[in-house]
Amino acid sequence: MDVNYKLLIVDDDAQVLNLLELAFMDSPYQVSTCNDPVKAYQRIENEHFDIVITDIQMPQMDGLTLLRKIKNFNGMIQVLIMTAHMTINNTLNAFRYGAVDIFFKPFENLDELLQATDNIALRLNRVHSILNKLVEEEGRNAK
Amino acid sequence: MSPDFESPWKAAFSVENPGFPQILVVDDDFVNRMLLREILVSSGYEVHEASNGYEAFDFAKSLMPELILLDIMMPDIDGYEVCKRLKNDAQVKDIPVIFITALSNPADLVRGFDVGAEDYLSKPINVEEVKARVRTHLKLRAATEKVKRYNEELERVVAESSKELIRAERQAAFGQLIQGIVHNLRGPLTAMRGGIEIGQRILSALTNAVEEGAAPSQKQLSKWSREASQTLELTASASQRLNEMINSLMIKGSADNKRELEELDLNDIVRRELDFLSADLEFKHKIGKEVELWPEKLMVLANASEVAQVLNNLLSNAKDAMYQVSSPQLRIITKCQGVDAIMIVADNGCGISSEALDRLFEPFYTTKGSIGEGDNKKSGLTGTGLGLFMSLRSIRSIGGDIEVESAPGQGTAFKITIPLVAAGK
Repeated sequence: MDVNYKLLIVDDDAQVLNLLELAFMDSPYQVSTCNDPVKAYQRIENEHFDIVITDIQMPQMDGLTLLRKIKNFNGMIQVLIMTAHMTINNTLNAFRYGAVDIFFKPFENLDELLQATDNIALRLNRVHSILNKLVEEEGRNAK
Repeated sequence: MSPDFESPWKAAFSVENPGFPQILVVDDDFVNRMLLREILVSSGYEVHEASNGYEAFDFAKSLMPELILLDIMMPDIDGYEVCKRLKNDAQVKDIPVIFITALSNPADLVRGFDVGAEDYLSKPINVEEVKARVRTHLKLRAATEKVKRYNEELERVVAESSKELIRAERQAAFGQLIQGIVHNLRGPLTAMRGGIEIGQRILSALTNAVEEGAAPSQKQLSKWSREASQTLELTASASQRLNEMINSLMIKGSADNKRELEELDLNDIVRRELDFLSADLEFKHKIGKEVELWPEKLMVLANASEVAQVLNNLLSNAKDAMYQVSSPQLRIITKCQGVDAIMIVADNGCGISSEALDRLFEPFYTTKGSIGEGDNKKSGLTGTGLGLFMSLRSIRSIGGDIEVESAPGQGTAFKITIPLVAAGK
């Protein structure tokens, strides 16, 4: 099964990016990082990403805005939110705008974040296999 | 000569009778006094009499009547002089004076008004005229007193609530500050905690291998070693960053605790405050900054935290003013001009209308968050209207001044002038 998903991590804090690179070092994903949400969105439009992990409070663009833009651009992209601001609004809005999960910084447990990412990958696997099957069937029917 | 009033007179006159308005009649002529007494008592007033200027002045002070009827032509000191003295005395100057004159020369009337009398009655006395004038002036006086009391009450309330607002504003600013600090500290903390976790992960993999007696390959060992060193490096640099943040907070905190004036370099304050405001990410990244500091020290005698507060105020006002500007640009200049140090804070924000400009330094005047102004409401900007008022007060207290220039849509420039400490000191 194809689990070589492309992962983009967005945070304005270089040390946090550095940490997550280390954390995902042994993971099966192709990890990219970006410290500017505006550039991150440009990359998302031009390259293919399956999963995005983004911070909320960033100077150039709010992470929740990035989330909405991503979901608007391609609803299939799965987004995980992380934030140092544990507020009710941030949490509700993250889910309202289509995030899969939210993590608070500093992370209680990095494994939880990795686990959540793996769960997304599993779900994407399932969805992809369903889609493949449907596409195949449609192709057969067309003949 | 002035009579001695350590007599039963004083006690007799001091009887308070709140039910009836008290009127002091001053006339050297006994018959005139009797006549006026008759008229006034029949109208329900309490009447006191003084037969000369000295008595008039003393009675006015001890009785505090609501109205004084004052004859002009008196021996010793005349009515003009009495009136002048009454109006120069803070205690009694608000008691209205109606002078009574047989003089028909307009110049004499003018003189009466010149010394501060409120009205006049002409001799021979007309009963209805006396009643009408007295009634009118008592009404006026009652109304004035009422307004005065309202004003005093209002002033008290304003003073009280401004204290409250200043406290609230400080608390709000403090809350925001704490939030910013916490957010900033969480970054390196996240990296540190996560780094430790990854380190533990590597260690436990290594421990497992040792316990199982497995001999890890050279490749595996070098991978662990590389990962461990990267993790430690990250953790070390994050802890260093955390330490630097805490140090700069300590410096700022101890500067804020000093209240006395000291000689300080204006450039230092600007640098420190800009550094501090960088905790605000929006301020740090979104706003273009052009900082031109005078190459030499600008020593002024001031309180560091107050000047910093003023600068902070101007900078955050500027930030608010540039809320809707696509490329916000801030200019901060310090320079030496003669015997003064100058600091200019200019923005390219929404600017200030000329009406608002006139009222800018008034307490409680604010252009932020006014009801009905859609843009401001949307921006969520709120002001207590005390920032600039307090800033001006604080700068003036050290002999300086704040000036402002602004054009709507083009931006605003604040110029602060503070006298330099004489060179060579």
